[in-house]
Amino acid sequence: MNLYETYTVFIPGDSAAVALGANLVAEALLQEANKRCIDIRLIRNGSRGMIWAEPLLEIQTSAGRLAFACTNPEILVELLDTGIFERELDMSVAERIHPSCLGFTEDIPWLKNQNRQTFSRCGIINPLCLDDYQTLGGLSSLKNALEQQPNDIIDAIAASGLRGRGGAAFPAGIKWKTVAECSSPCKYIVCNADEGDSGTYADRLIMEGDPFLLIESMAIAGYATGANKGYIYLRSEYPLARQILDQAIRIAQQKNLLGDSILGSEFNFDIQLFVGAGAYICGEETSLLQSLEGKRGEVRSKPPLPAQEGLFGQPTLIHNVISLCSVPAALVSSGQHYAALGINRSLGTLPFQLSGNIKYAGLVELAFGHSLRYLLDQFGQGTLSGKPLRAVQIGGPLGAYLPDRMLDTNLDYEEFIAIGAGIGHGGIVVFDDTVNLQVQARYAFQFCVEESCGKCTPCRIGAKRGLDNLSTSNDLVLVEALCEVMESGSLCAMGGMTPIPVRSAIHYFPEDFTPTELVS
Amino acid sequence: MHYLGGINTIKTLIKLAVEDNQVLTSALRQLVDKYGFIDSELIPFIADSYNLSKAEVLGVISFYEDFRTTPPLAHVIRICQAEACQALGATTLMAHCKSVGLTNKQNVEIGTVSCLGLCACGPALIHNENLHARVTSAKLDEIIRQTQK
Repeated sequence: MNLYETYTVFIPGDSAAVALGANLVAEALLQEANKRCIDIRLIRNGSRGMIWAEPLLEIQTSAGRLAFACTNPEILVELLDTGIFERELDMSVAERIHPSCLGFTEDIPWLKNQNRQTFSRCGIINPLCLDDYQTLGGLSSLKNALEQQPNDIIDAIAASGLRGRGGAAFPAGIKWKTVAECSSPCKYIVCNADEGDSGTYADRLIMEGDPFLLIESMAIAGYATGANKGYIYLRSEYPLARQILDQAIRIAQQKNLLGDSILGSEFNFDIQLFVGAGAYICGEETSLLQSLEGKRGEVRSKPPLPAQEGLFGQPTLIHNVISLCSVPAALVSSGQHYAALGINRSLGTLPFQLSGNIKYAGLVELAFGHSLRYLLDQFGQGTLSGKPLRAVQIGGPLGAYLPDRMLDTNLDYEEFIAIGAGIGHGGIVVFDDTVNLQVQARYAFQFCVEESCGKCTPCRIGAKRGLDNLSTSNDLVLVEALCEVMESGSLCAMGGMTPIPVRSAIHYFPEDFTPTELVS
Repeated sequence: MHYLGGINTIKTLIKLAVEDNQVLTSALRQLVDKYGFIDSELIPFIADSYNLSKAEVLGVISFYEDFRTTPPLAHVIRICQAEACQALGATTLMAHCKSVGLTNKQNVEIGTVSCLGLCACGPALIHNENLHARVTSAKLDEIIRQTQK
């Protein structure tokens, strides 16, 4: 049975879709429908992650949803002219209805070949309808959890093998256990939604497309660790996510999914949305906590770990959006289902984000273990410019630049560490052969200069010296020395990992670093 | 400066934030959301309300990109310069702005931003709160032309 009535139209309200003109398509649809006296129900869903097809328009038919790619107001008029809403069309020849038709959404190989665990509902439902959320399995995980002992939930998280998806890949079970074992009466759940890494947008997509999932997951984490208050630290560069989360939290409070005695249990939990102010470093957990406390986002030294002394000095479970949103999937069959996906110590799935110069860019959720090449070939299918691929940066601005010959590396946290790289938050940025890696290495230092919090010397001074050097003498021996100091002496990953893009660029693309290649 | 509702409204807003136990960054966020900037003349008042020194308040303001002390122009356009947008010509787009003098149009402020989460459809920009993706030089010219009407 279909969740939505026949002829319901879906046009995403997701940022990427909107930036590509989805609101114009939606307005045109309502206007035209009115003019033609057709009764249409429009739902602004989240994105399916097929950013290459946005604005994607879907029409519910009795046989499933029909998808139309890259729509605009003109295509919409053509579509209405086919009479699609007024008479029975032969949907088995969907492509003949209009050239933009991709057929039934469920059959699109790009989606079908994914393994959607965390993103199972994203793009399918109305993000702000709690009933739709529940119809597709939402809240069942929280309801189950509230009937269990907190310890059993933590054991299931540990058994699932879930690791932090923000980049550090720390085992979630250990973190939860540490917070749960602290005896403080006041504990916090903090969701890190300061997704600043270039090439990543999984957090944004899920917050805009399935916000109740984040709320449910935070409540489960609160119950398991004994915390009654949650914060979502959202970056200000995501204005639409802010609006959607704001509404979702309000609805959750009205429907008793948040507040006192949630869902009739004895557990109290509430969430506050906190909007950042344009500092990349606040994605670093201790800097984020400083910012939440009202201060400059300067990194704190660890220990103490945030799990023991975090927000306002209290035990704090701090997790990235995707780590939290993976919780309901991880809890299925006490963690066994999730643990059966992936390889070695990289279990479950990761939403990879194909970005930059790539033909079929978008979000691909896959179990760990495929090669990077499989992901790029199977889903990305070449560069957008049509020129040869030259470099791939994986893991955000602090991630390595890899040449074609390294693409056979398997998507597994440890395999990437072994080649001096990292999977990070799963962002993959593709560059064609017009890229100059000396310029990119210099940008890595420049980014660190701009975004360093300034607290520790290796990061603050090292990045500046590195930038100066790559802008003038190009003395690679000195650059390597700076990288060594930054890597071993910085307080956090900002300074500690800036050497990764720099070194990988020098190592894999030495031809770009000859003095003649100096670009002013 | 002329404020919506006058200086007392702003002061009340700050006082309410303190009473509501909101942290300083949260109060500053409210000011920026409402007025677009934080007037430096308010710093002594904010410092007093939060029992901090003026230097501490200024320290927090200057740390964050969004906490500006000058009023924004009517149109603030920020072009993403992060890697994914670079891979699709963000640097060229910025250079285009400078070369054809888009940076000195009336009522338009052009700046940069690092990542809008539109990495699969770059180059991207944000014009006030409106997002644009796959921005070409021609599209940018058009956006700016619209602001000059």
